[in-house]
Amino acid sequence: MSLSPPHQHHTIYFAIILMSWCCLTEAYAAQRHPPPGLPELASAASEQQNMWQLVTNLSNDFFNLYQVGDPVAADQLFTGNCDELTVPSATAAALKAEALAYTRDYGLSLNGVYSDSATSDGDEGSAYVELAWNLLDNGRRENLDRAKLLDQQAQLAQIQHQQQLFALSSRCVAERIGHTELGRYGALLRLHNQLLTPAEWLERRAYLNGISLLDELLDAQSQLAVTNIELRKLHNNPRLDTHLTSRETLPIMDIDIKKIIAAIRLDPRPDYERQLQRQSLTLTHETDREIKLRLYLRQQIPTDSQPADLVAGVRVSMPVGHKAGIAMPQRFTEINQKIEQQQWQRVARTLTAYDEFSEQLTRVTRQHYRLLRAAERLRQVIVARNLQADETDLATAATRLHSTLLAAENLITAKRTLYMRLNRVIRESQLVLAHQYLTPLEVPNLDYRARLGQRLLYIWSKNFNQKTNVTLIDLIRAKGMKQVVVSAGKQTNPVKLRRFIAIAENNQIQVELTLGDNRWIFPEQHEAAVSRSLNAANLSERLHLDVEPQALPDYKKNRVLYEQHYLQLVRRISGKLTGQRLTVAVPLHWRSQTYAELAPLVDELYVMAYEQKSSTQVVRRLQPLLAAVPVTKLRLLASAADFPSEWEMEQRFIAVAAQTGISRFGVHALNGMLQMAAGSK
Amino acid sequence: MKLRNHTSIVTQLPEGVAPASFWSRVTQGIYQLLVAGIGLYLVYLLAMQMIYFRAPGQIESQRTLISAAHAGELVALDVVNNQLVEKGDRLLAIQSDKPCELLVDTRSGKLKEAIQLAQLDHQLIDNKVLFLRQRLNQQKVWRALELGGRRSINAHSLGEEISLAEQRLQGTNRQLKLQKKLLKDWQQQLAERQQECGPQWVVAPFSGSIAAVHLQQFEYASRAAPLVTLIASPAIVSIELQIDEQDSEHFSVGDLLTVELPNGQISDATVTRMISNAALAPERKQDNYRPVQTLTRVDLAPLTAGDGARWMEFDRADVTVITRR
Repeated sequence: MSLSPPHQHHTIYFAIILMSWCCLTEAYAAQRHPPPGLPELASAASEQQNMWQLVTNLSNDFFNLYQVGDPVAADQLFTGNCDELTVPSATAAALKAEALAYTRDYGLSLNGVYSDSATSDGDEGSAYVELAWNLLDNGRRENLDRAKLLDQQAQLAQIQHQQQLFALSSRCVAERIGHTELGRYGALLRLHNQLLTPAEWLERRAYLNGISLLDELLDAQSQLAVTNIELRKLHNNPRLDTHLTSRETLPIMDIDIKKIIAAIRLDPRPDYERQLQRQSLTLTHETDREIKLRLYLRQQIPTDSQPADLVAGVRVSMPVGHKAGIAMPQRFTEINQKIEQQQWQRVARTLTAYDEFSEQLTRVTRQHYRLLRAAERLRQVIVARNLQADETDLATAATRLHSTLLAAENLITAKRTLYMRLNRVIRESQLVLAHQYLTPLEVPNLDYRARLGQRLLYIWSKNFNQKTNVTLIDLIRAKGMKQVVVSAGKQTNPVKLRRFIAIAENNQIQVELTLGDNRWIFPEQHEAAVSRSLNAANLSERLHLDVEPQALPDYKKNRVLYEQHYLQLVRRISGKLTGQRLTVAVPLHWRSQTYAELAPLVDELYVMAYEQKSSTQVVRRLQPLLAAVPVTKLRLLASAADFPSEWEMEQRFIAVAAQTGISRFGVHALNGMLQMAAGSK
Repeated sequence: MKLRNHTSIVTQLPEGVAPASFWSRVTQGIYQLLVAGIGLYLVYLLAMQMIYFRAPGQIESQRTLISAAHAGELVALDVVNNQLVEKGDRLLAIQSDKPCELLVDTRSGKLKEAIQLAQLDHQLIDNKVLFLRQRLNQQKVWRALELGGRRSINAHSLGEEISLAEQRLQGTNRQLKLQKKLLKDWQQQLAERQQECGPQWVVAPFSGSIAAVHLQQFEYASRAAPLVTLIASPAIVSIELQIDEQDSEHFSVGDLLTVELPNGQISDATVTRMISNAALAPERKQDNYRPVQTLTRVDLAPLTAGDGARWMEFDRADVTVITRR
């Protein structure tokens, strides 16, 4: 099912394909039928436009595909039961049954003898019937010993059965691994197919028009053929089909081999096995006794030569001299050696499997970053296209999309191989709870932008109205942000705002609408404030209240009163909301009591740490907040205008996070961020 | 009127009682009233003299005398007495008697061309600045989107380019202003020379009426000779009075006064200025003769426009100014 690694070379060919297509003139465009996947075309320009649209749509689908995903828990993968393997050991059961049978054999026997011998005196015969009880050899004692031996053999058989089960379970896990990420893999293949189909058509046209060569066409066709084969395989296999709609993802895992080896060495089962074998050997030796002791009661049957007689007797037989048998010390040594060798092989095979796993882990990590790089390059060209920049080239965009899809497919394949090898490590280790030594590797996902924590961005009316919604979304995503605060004031274009909210939600970006007037704190204004706030909250389900009583001219004189009014306002608004999210902007210098009363009323407090000279100062001023509010409800805001570069701002965030535990941040505002980006050298 | 005589040296008869007459009583009453009236009037006059201060004044309307800037023949005279003129109207023209030479216009064309080029240059630089600003904004967005590539240049260089362009823009602005000024100066110089060589028209500096024309057409006017007297419209009229120093205590700037016009009408005025003045003594005296008297000149302005209009009717007439002591 895997695509071969040399597909990286195909990327170059793909680039050549599309670049040659770009040489087509309108005359050629007029002679053709439309390529599959693209509508009826009127000119080369519209064909190019449609191709751009296709590339853009496929790229968006790709990024959306990676927005959702359910990471598979490794322990579920390795410990889920396979129904076919939950059978007990038949061998052990048989041995146990035999052992039971032997325990019921008391060594009693009823014998009868008749003998007739012809002599010169005529026929002389004898007959008797006897009830005999063998006590030692072939008797009760030996039966009990045999039963014990069979019990131990049953335990050994159980151990062997478990080892076999281990191998079978490993096979079951391997099959389970093969089903993971099928949904995503299938989606990637479909996207790839949608890209390659028109590309192959275009390449065929280019070849027949003499613009490109046959090998380039063959390369395009080969890629398309491989993709179609993979898709067919996915859709035709009924067992795989059920997984196609899942969105499972495999995390990249590492295993602590030191702990595995230590666990192998501390595994009590080999010693137990050794003990069982030794006991078994001992019992075998002991059951092989030659001392016979037999009690009998014989009734002579009267014959011509003998009268009827009842005889009770004891028969004893004991070998004299050295008894030949098992060389116990040497056998014990043999057992020890075998067990130790098994252990050694177990460790050696585990280490070998781990080496292969480790090598694959390196490949997977490299492939993961390859995918990240490809996705970032794809993002760059799509965003540049959104800006309608003239230098964006369709061939580049399509090539990058192709590379990204290829990298994603290869990554899935590589991860499956990784898990297969991980499975082999666990199988070779024969540790039942080996999955607990697995640790996920911290690798960035496609949203990664090298920035700490969760971020949000403030966008005020002027910038919001001037920039297109697409550009705004691109800016937000470029900075790794998932939340944005947009002004819902009168100057914001309401139609654009509604559209923006819809687009943002599609891109998994949460929009909070902000509004506020500092005079809203006064009780006579509360009613109007509540009404306006509810309208905004209904629009986006998230409301950010930007009311700053500290900005009022007589705040210092009426500080306590104003903060109480503010709390009343927030209480009223909070009480009227029906599940919408409410956040507020607070400064660093309010009273602790205000923060403490405010925290339960809102979902988050955005702390405006503007114009602070250093992170030390920020941390010091945050202490009253941290004492009154849970850290999970705090978000630190920084003004982009306070920093010469984004690097400086990041250092502030990192320092504050390290000292306070705050992991949510915000940037005020878009204009400052643009200036900061422009000013960076 | 018959007088009663209490004693008579001729007769010794009892005096008895004179016969009473109704009309004599009436007459007596009338006489008494008259005497009382005269007395009261005298008291009134005295009181008026004591309460009010009266001084003579003269109504003066502001007149502007337009004189000849240079000597020459009055070649044109377009106004007559009492004619109303507007600001800028031609009044008369004087032909200078000085020899002059007209300037040849050798620079206007070149200056105009230079101005056009400078304007074009200015427009180009302005467009460039606009373009660079747009590019800078795009570049900010580009960098914020972390797109790299050719556009990922430092905004500083763009900013510097914008700054340089703006400096050039300022330079072209100054150059343009200078060139326009040069052209204007040159054209002014040409016009002045043209004027100097041709008849120089005298125009009304403000709207008003011609009070007097002092010369006739084709008459020769010497330098600074009065040509026309012009009274502004609306005319600025005032009353001027000269009072003794000791009387100046009855006046202060801003006081409201009453003016009695020659036709007996009363008008209101306000004191606008009080300055020391000196006047020659008109007649010699035997004792304490001082040839120059120290007086105080008081200027009054009409309180309303209506008052001003009425004063204009009595331009140069004497009036009486009344104020409370």
